[in-house]
Amino acid sequence: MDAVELDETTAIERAVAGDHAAFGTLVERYQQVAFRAAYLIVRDAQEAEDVAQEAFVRAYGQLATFRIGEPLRPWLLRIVQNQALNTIRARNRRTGLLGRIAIFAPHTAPSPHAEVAASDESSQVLAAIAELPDDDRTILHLRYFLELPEREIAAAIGRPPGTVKSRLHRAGQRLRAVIETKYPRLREGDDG
Amino acid sequence: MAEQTMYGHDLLLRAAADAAYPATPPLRSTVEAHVATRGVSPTSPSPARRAFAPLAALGVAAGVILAVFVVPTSRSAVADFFGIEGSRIDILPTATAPTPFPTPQDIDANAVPSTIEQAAVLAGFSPALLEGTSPSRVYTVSYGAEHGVILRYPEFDLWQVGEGSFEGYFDKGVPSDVVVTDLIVAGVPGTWITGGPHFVLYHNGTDDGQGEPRTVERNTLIWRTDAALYRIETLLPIEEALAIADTLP
Repeated sequence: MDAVELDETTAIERAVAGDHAAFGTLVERYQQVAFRAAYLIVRDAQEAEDVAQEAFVRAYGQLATFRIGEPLRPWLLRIVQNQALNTIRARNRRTGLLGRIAIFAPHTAPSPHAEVAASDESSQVLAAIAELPDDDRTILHLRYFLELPEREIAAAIGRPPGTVKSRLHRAGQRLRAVIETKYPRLREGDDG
Repeated sequence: MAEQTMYGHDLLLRAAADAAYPATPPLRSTVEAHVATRGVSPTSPSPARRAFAPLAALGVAAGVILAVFVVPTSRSAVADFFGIEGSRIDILPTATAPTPFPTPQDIDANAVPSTIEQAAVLAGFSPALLEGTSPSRVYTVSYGAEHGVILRYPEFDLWQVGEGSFEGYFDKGVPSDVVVTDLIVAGVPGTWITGGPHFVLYHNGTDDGQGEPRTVERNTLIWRTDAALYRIETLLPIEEALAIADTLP
C-alpha cells in the first residue's frame, strides 16, 4: 500500500469515526471529478455544484458501508451519477408539469438540443450521449470523459470487470443509432 | 473485443479531449456545513434510518418535525430523501412558478359522488374511516386505471389512493416560497405542504401525466402506509392535521 492509499484509508477511517475534517480532505481530493461527472449529466454549473455537494453529503452518510481497501472514487462517482440522474428526472418532471398548464418555464441549463446549435463536435457528441439510456450514458462518461480505468468503471457501475468492454460496445452501438438518426454530420468525423 | 473497434471510439476520444468544464467550485466548507447542520453521521447504514433514529427517542406519535431544509435545492432533495412511494415533490423556482395558478375547481369537477360501499367496490379497497364521525360526503376519483376515495369532513378532505401499491405517482409542483416539511405521520414518513398553493398531477406507470393539474390551495399532509397513500387537505394547522392522521385505524 503506498502513501497515497494509506492517506485515503486513514481519512476514511477517521471520517467514519465522525471526523468531519477528515472527510473534508476527501471532498477536496475528489471534488473535481465529482463536479465534472455531475456536469456531464446535468449540463449546468450551478446544478452540477448542487449535485456534487449533495452527493458528498450522502456519501458521508453511507461511508460506514464503504469497504476499506476498495477504491473510493468509483464508489463516490456512483452516488454522484445517481444524484445527477435524479436531478435530470426532477427537472423533466418540472418541465412537464409547467408545460401542462402552458406556462413557459425558462431554464438556464442548455438542453441537449440547444447544444447542438453550437455545432462543435464535442458538444454534439455530448448531446448524442445525453439521448442514450442511463446505463450507456454513464459508462461512456466514465470511460472517455472521466478516464477511469476498467476496474474502477466496473466498480462504479456495479458490474464485474469482464463486462465493461461488452457494455461499452453496446453503448457504442446505441450511440451509432442516435448519431445516424439525429447527428449525421458527426459520422464524417468518426474514424473509429 | 478490441475497444478500438467500438463504434465512436475515436470520436469519443476527441470529444472528451475538447470538452470544456466550468471551474470546479470549492465544496469542502459547504459539504461540512451541510453534514453538521443536517446531523448526518456515517455510523449507521442508511440516511433514512439515521434520520428517524432521533425521532424514536423523541416520540414519533407526537409528530415531531424532524428538520426543515431552508435551501430550495436541498428541500427538493429532502423530498427524495424521505421518498414517500407514490408521491414526488418538485420545488419550482420562483421565476418558473405559474402565475396565476389554474383556477381551483370544486371537488365535484374531478370526482364522482358516491357512498362508502360503492366507493369500496370501485376503488377495490375499503377506505379507512375516522372513528366517531362520518364523512359528510364521499367521492371516488379515477386516475386512469387507479382509483381513489375522497371523504369530505367539515374541516378537511381525506384522500386515499391504492391498496398496498400502485404503479403511478402524484407529482406535486411546489413554488419555492411554499414551505415543505418532512415529518412523521402516524409513525411513518410524511410531508406537510403549507404557505401557498401548489398543484398536483398524477402520472401513470409509464410516466404519462393523466388529465390536467389540480390546484391545491389548502395545507396538505401526505403519508403512506401499507394500506394506502393518504392526503389530508385542510386549513387546519399541522398539529391538528397530525392528530387526525393518528386517529385513522
